[in-house]
Order: sequence, then structure tokens, then C-alpha cells
Amino acid sequence: MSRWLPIAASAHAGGIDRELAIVHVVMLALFVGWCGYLGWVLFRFRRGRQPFPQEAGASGRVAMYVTGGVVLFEAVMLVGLSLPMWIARQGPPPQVSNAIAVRVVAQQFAWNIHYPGADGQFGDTRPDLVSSENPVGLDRRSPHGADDIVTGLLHVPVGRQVVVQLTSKDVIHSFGLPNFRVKQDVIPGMIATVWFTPTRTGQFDIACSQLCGLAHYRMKSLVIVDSAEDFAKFLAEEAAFLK
Amino acid sequence: MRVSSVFSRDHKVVGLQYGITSLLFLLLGFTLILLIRWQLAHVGIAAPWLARLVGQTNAPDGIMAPEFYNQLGAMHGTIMVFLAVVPLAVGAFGNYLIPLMLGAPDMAFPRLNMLSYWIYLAAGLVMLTSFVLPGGAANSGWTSYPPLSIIATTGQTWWLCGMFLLIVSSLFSSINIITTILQLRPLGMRMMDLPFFLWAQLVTSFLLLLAFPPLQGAAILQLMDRVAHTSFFLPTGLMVSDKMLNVSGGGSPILWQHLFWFLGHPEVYVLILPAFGIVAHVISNETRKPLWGQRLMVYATLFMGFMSFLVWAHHMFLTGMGPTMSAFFQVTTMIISIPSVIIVTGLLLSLYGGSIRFTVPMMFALAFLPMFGLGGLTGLPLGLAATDIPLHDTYYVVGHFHYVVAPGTLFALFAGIYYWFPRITGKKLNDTLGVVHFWGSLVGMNGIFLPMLIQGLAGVNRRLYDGGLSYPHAAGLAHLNTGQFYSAIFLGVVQLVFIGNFIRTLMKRRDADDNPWGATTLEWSVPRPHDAHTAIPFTTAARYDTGVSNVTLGFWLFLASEVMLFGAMFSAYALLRVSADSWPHGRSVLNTTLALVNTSLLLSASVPAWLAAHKAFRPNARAVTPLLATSGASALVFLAVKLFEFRTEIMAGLLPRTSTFYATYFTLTGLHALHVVGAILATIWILVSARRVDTAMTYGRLKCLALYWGLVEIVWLGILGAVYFA
Repeated sequence: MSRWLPIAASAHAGGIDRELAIVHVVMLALFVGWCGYLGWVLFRFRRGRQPFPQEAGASGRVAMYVTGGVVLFEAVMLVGLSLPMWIARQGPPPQVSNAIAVRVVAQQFAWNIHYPGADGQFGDTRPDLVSSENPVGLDRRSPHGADDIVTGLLHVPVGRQVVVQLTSKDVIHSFGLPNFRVKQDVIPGMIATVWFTPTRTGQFDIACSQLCGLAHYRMKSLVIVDSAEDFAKFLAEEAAFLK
Repeated sequence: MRVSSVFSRDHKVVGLQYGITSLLFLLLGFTLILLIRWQLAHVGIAAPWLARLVGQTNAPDGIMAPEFYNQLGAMHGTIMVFLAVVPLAVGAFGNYLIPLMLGAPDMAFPRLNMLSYWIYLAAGLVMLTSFVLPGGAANSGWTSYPPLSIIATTGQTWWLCGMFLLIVSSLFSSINIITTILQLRPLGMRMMDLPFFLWAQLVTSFLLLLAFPPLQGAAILQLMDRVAHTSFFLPTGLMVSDKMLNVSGGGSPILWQHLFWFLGHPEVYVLILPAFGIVAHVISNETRKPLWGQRLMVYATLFMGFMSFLVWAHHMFLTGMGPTMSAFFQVTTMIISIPSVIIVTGLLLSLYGGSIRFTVPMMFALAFLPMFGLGGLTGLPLGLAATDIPLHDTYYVVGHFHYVVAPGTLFALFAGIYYWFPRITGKKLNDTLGVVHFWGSLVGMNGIFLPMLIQGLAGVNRRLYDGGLSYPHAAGLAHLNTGQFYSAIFLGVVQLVFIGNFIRTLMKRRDADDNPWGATTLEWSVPRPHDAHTAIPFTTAARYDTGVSNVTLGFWLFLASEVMLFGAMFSAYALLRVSADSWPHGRSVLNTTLALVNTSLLLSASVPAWLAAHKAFRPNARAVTPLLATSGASALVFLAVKLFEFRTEIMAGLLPRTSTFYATYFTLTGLHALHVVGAILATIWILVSARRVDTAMTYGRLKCLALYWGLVEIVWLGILGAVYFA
């Protein structure tokens, strides 16, 4: 299955991929089974061989077993795999000491990434401060605002949990990270939280996944998964740039 | 051609009008997608012919504009679903065949039937005209999610108006179909003996009747947002291009999605159930055997129809839904797959023991089975929320529903066209050309849709103007777009074969054989041409076995749709109010005295209407007239008071756009007032036409008017409680 999917780069991707694989194997088996039966029945009961229909039709017992099997399979998939995984994904992120908190503010047609800076606390943001230079409306003079980093690329360190708080300024966007098996609608007026733990360094796409206007197709950015040193370097450079 | 044959009430003419119009829309929707597929295969390549074809604005120097691409996407979806497939499946096949299969002279309400076609055509023309507006047609997707759709160009307003008309049309037609099947069913024919085709049409019509009104309500709200600048779907603090939007805010974008998908999901079954009906019918005939497990299939269909109202939010898994709600909708989604499996299994088992003839309609019906199977199976990973995460909004979704609707429903519709063409025209479509059409369509469609599943698994998003070319994760699959483009061209060429066959057969002399398939079902047994127009039975007289007349049943169905409309409006009100930070008390800001005055006026309008319906037991026109006059006059005064109330508020600067509270107040009371206007018009119409129709008819209408006043009263009491005094 993995050759069909984008390269997996987060800790939870394996679980989702495994579920995808199981579902697709069963789908394929059912499809092949149906087609096999269809081919056989069409050949066996073609008019040339069966000039008149049989009085008795199919008993349907096997078919009902198959239907029952499908029901059972769906129940198992649902209760055994999908629901637990969904609850784990949608629930609050597990409390870990070294998690990275970051805010992502979506707008037509850009992703603004907002880090709390060295103090670990986000500065205040106000709508009246929003401008093209200050896309998130950060108040630099607020208590924790001076060291905040606002940028366009999402740098994250490998192996540490990233908790992303999502908001939108205008229309509905969707924060899609194909490689991390993360996707979340970003709806104006609502705050959504997603979290993931990157497992490999490299550059990965952020793709807006909800039609958001004429330039929706180029509303993109990158997740750059750095090694611990590179991430520290990134923070230091950004901090230096502020001074 | 005589005027009477254009504005015909004959179900066969109306059915054909629906058929031809929807086939033309099908061709148009397909042409739009050819442009889309061309664009995806030729990103950034200038084509002078494109600028000539769609204009310099839409394709500057032959390079398609992204805005135009979005128009094509939104309108392809809208046209295919609402103007092509549903009108073909329900309007054409339903209208033409239902009365024939019942042995009924016509539909239960022939005039309403004619009206629903013309309103559908008007809706289609509105949609078409929107292409030439400044800014072009709607471009926010066929789902029209706000806030994008609210800040979009004028085309969106036209889209909403077109949808409104379309919903009115489909409400009329669903009322007609349900009444026809239930009322004009031959006396003594039990419901379980109805052909499966009719069952499918019946359940489909119920879905249309009950699921569409909430979208109608939503369309009204979105129109208000666009035209009156209210904020039903706009949250507080919206900034577009870093400028505060000048609106009150306080609305909810997610509210639209709930209302839209409450229609949107039953709509899927509206697309597929008539297809099941046709496939079952054709398979049964071409195997020379009755359907396997008709009773089980009917129950499955009923269950599916019911469940389709409980799965809508599986389109919204990624909106930030909590675990409980998503668990509920995942469970319902898995449950609804069971009746689909049962129906497909039933159709497959129907083949066993048959004497199978591989005629052209049968080939389409047989290919439907695995193709719909593929569409259904690919729904599984989308219905499980965890696997929906990577697949949501990718081409996997597009591939999934196209398998359901294109080689699924469309193949069933083609099967129906080939099968019933001789019944309609007395001529049979050419077999060789039909076989070419079949195999070509099968290959062409799979050539387009199978790669979509691969693209989707790889994470390529839908609705991208460049097909994802600029994303590294998607660019590796860009070559698939070329194959899909040539498949689409091939599919188009094959459809030309079909169109040629269609026209050639129409032009040729009539065949001798009226029943080339050796069919034994009722629709073939009526001699053709049939022009003897007998009266529709049970119009005002009650059916002997159920004690219901057509008018009564039809009107109750209409009331049911009204209940759904106002139900959606009150739900929207409740959701907005619950999620608002602050909400004023109606009693402290609205004029409750006037509201109480209006309550008594409404009573003095509805009570005489009730009495008139009662008095008419005795055919005594002299008693009815003053009662109706009193009722109408009170209703007029009600409207005057309402207008005065509105005027006072507007003079005080309190407008619908002032706050979400005033938006709901004006919209709810305004919609209610429009219903009072409707009651007044109906009253006048009954009075004027009373001399022309017989007493039983007038009495039937009076009973409907009384029922209608009951609805208007109840809605008013709801408004009084929820808006004025809460």
C-alpha cells in the first residue's frame, strides 16, 4: 500500500496507513469476488446455454453470508480501528514536556506561522493591527510579544510533538499535510487544534485542501522538519533578525 | 407545432421535455468537464482556440483564468447533479413511465406536472445566463461554502436563485409522483406488488420532498447574506485582504454545511435509487425471470431512504467535530452501506438461473453492477473517519462519487434510454452503434476515474487549477492527467456515436415491432399512440380503500415540505442563538403589542377559513363568500400591521444587517408574511374559480386552504414564542 501513498513522516501515519491497507485489501477481495461471480453467472446462464429460465432462482444463502461478513468487517473496522484512532487524533494531545506550540493563521492565499519565541508564550494579537507587514496582527509591545516569530514556513524539530492551533481570517481553508496524515478544516470564527510528531527530516508540503478562491491552487507552504540543532539554529536566526 | 403540445399537461410530453432538456444539460456539463480536463493536461499552455471559445476574459491569450476554472468546476457539479441526472432519472423516466406502469391515465396533477417542467427550465436558464455576468457564473464549488460564496461574484446570487427555482420544481414533481403512485395504483394492487421501479421512484420522491426544503431555507439565508448583508454564515471579525468586512458578524459558516449536507446526502440516494429501479427492471426482463427477493429489496430501499437523513455529517468529519458526533455519523454511515450491499446482491442473484440475453440495455445494466460496486466500496475508507483524514478533499473522493454517478447512475439511465426508446418512439436504436457506445463509455469512464483513485491515495487535492503540479507530492502523478484528458476526449467521441444513433433512429421509418424486448410489464401493454384522455380518478373523491383523495394527499405532502422548510429555519435560529455571545430578549426590543394584535388578526383570518371549509359541506356559495372575504381582509390587515412594524424598525435604523438577531427576526417573520400573502392569493383564486369548477373541487380547495392556515398559525406561534417572547 505504501507505494501508493505519500511518504509517511509522522508517528501516527503508520496506523492510518495500516487501516487504509486493510480496507483496500478487503475492498479488492469483495470486488474480485463479485466480478468472478458475475462473470461465471453470465457465462453459465447465457441464453445459448440456458434457453429458458430456471423455475427456482438462487437460494441466496451464500450471498447472505457474504452480506453478514461485510457487516461484521465494517463493525470490526469501526470499533476496532477507526473509532479508537479518531478519538486519539481528535482528543487533547498527550501531555509531553518538550512539545512545540505553534499557531497557524490561514488567509487567502497564505499560511502565516506564529511561534511564541524564546519565552514560550504567545504575544497578544489584535485585528486592528493586521496589515500586510503584520499578517497576524501581533502586538509587539504586549508582555510576551517582543520575541514572537511570525514567518511563512513551518519549521519543526524531528521527534518532538508539534501542537498546531489553527484559525482563519477570511474563508474556510483546510490545513492539509499529506505526508503527516494530517488534515483539518480551518473555519473562520473557530479554533482548531491538530498535533503530530514528525519522524523524519526533510521538506514536506502544506496544501490548502478546501477551495478558498481563485488562487487556492497556490495556497501552499512547507513543513521543514529539522534536526534538533538545525531547529535551534532556525530559532536563533529568527531571534537575531528581530533585533 | 401547436402551443398546446409545447405547454402540454400530458405526462408523456412532459416526460419527453424533461428527457430532452436534461440530456442537453448532460452534454453541457460534459463539455465543461472537457475544458477542465484540457486545462489539467495543459497547465500554462496557451491555446488560441480557447480564447475564441470562452472569451478573452475567461482565457486571456488562450490561457485559462483560475477564476474561470473555478466556475467550470462549480457549474459542472451543479449542472450534472441538479439539471441533468436528477431531472433525467425522475423527471423523464418517472413522468413517462409511472402512469403507464400503473395503468393510470396521467399523473395525479397534470397541470402541476407541466408547471414543474417549466420552472425547471427557468432554473436551468438562470444557471446558464449566469455565465455571461460580469465575474461569470458561481465559482465557489457546487457546495457553495460560505464565507467564500458570500464574498464571491454576482454569479453566486444567480446560482442561489436558480437553486431556489429548481427546488420548487422538484417539490412539485415529488408531490406529484408520490400522489400518483399511492393514489392511482390500481384498486386491489397491493403496495408490495408494485414494480421495484415504482418503489425506487416513490422513495426517491420522498427524499426530494423532505430533504430539499432545508436547502431552500439555506439558500434564502445565503441570499440574505449576499443581498441584505446579514451575517447568518459570517462569524465575527472576518478580514478579507486584511480589511475588516463591514458586517455585523455573529453567524456560523458551519450552519450552511449542516443545512447543505442535510440535502446533499439524501441527494446521493436520489441519484442512485432510480438507477436501481431501472437496472432491476431491465435485468428482470433480460433474464426472463422475476427479480430475486423483491420484498427484501423494497425493505432495503425504504431503510436506505430513512437512513439517508442520518448520515449527512460524514461530509464534515474534518470540521473539528467531537468524537461522539463523529462516532454517531460513522456508525450510521456504515449502517447505510448494508442496504446498498443487499440491493446489489439482490440484483446479482437475480441473474442466477435466468436466460440471459446480452442486449444493449442489458449490457449497460450489467456493467452498472461492478461499477456501482466500485463506487460503493471506495466509499468505505471515506466513511471511516480515521482513513478519511488523508483522503478527504482529494481526487479519491472525486473518483468515488463519479463511479457511483457516472458508470453507475448514468449507465443505468443509458440502459433505460435504450430499453424504453422503442416504447416511446416505436423505433429501436441501432444495436451495433449501441455496443460501440457501451464499450467505449466503459473504457472511457474507467480511463478517467480509475486514475483519480490513484491520485487521491497519493494525496492530490481536488479543485486545483493546475492539478497539483506545483506540489512535489502531486507532481509525480501529473502524467495521469494526460491519460485522463485523452480518455475524456475518447468518451466524448463515443457519446457522438450515441447522439448520432439517437437522431438517425428518430429520422428513420417506424419499426414494425412495438415490443422488441418481449417485455411483459404493464408499460408495454398500453397500445400506442394513446390519446384517449380520461379524467384522473380520485382527484377530489376519496379512494375506496384508503379514504384519501389526491388533493388531500398532495396537500399534506406539501405541508410536510413546509414543515421541513420552517424546521430548518427554526433550527438555524436555535443554532445561531445558542452559539451567540449575547442575544437580546425579543420582548425587550420588539413590539410585542403589535405582535399580539397580529396574533388575533391571524386568528380572525384562519377561523373563518376553517368555517368555510366546514360550511361547504352544504354546497352553499353564499355562505362561503363572506367568510372568505373576512378571512382575506383580516390577513390583509395583518400584513399592513407587519409592514408598519417593519417600517418603524427600519426608520429606527434596525435593519436585517444590524445583528444576527435582527437578521433572523426579519427573515423568519418576512418568510411567514410571504406565506400569508400566499394564503390571500389562494383565497382570491378559490373565490374567483368557484363558479367554474364543481362543488366537490371547491370544497377540496377550501379544506386545503384551512389546512394551510393551520400551518401559518403554528409557524406564527413558533415565531411569537421563539422570537418575540423568548
